[in-house]
Formats: sequence, C-alpha cells, structure tokens
Amino acid sequence: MIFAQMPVAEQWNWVGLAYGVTYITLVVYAASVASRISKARRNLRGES
Amino acid sequence: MTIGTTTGAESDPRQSKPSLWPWYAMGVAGVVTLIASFVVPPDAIQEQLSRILYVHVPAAWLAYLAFSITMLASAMYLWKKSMTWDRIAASSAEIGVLLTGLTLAVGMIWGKSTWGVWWTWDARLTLTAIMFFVYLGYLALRRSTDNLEARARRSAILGVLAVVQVPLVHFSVIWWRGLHQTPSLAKPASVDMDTEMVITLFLAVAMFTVMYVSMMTKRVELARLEDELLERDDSADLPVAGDAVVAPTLGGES
Repeated sequence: MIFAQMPVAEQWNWVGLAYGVTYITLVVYAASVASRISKARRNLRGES
Repeated sequence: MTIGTTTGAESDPRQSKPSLWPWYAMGVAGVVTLIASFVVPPDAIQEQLSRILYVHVPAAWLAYLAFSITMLASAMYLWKKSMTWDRIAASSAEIGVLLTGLTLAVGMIWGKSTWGVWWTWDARLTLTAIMFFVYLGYLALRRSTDNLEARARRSAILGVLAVVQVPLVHFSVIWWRGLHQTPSLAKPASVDMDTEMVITLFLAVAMFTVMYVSMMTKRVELARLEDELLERDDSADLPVAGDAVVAPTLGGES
C-alpha cells in the first residue's frame, strides 16, 4: 500500500521506523566510539 | 615519522581529561532535530511521510561534506605528511560511511512507503550504493597494514580519487531520468518547498552538522590514541613470531 491510500497511523509507523533507525544508529555509533576511546586509554595506561 | 600534534599532556592518557561537550552537543542537536521535524506541518501530498525528509536529506548532505573533508585532509596529508591530516581524513570517511548507510536505509524506508518498493536500480540509488561500498573499501584499505606511513599514503590517494563520486551522486537525478525526485532546493529562482519546510530542513542540516563536528572531535581523539598504541607496540621489545624456532644444524653435528 503506497501513501495515496495509506491511513495516517500507518504513515506514522513508517516515519517512526525511519527516525528509529537514524537515532539508534547514531547512538550506537557514538557509544562505540566512547567505548573504544576508554579501551585505548586503559591500554595506554597499561591496564588490561 | 611525524605523528602529528601529540605532545605534552595531550598525548599522556593519564593527564588528559576526556571532553564531554561533544556528547552533550550531539544529544541537544538530536533533540532539536526531532522536535522541529514533528512540529512542522505535513506535506499536502505525502502527508506525514514527508517528515522523513528531515533526516534523509541532512544525512545525505553531511555524507557529501564528510567525503569532501576526507578529500581535503588526504590532499593535505600528501602535501604536509602530517599524521593529524591522516586521522582527520580517516575519521571523516568513517562518519561519511555511517551517514551514507543511514541515507540508504532511510531512503529505502521512504521508497517502500511511497513508491511501493524497497529498492530500484535508479541512477541516484545505484550511485549512492557504489559510493558507500567504495568508502567501505577505503576503511578496509586502512586495515591492510600496521605501517602508519604506508597506510596513510595509500588511503590518502584513494581519499582524493574517490570524492569524484560526490558530484556524480548529487547530479545523477538531473543527468539521468529515474524514479528519485530532482532537487527541490537547487533552483533558487523557483524553490518547490513551503517556507516552513525549508526552514525546518535547514535547521535539521545545521543540527546534523553539529552532530558531525561532535562525532569528528571524538573520532579524531580515538584515532590519535589508536596510533599511539600502534607506535608503542612497534617500539616495544616484544617477542617476534618464530623466535623460538632454532635452525637445524647441518653436517651431522650433535
């Protein structure tokens, strides 16, 4: 079903999916960078 | 070998304090984009689905910016041979790949809901996918060696060459007829969008730029730490694989 016949609730589902994918991806990437920075700092300090 | 500007307290992980402002900036930018995208009125034809515009277009534009920064930093590395430029180029390429992936994923969601298909071999879609895989190749190339100079030189050459895809992707909707719509803002004399939508779109682009700068700050910091680790491991007196193997004595001596 394309948007011409799509109920508003279904339109919001697609919008929610698009925003969910975007924000979850950005948060996961930011968390991965933060975690890799912490790990690198620990390694440089000689901690395992 | 020049390892960039890692001197003094900045290079000592015990003395340098992690800066938190990029995380706060990212959070604020994300919330502002979300609120603005849901406050703006819906489009007359696409209705609520038009709201996907405010993440799809900024992600695509920032991917262009990220790959352009990669090209500039790569050229600067080839000129100055400073590892700082190499780290900027690599960090921007990684974020560019992330944003291109997001552009494709969100575009597929929009395509399924409006065109009725997840994917079609339209020129814009196909060239964007090729650009995504070429820059994935750039990231793979950087993992092919631990030699920092060789890694930087090889990836800088690719970083300069690969940027040719950015104008190809952007103008593909004008040069080839396809399913993807032509630019709405590329014709200043006759912008096809309502003022409120244009303002919201530019606000979203500004917020995505804040997110890009914040991510770059942390990603470059990570690249510097990883290079320091690689350097330390290279200079350390570590056992070499094969050291324990003793060559057999020839001539029957015991």
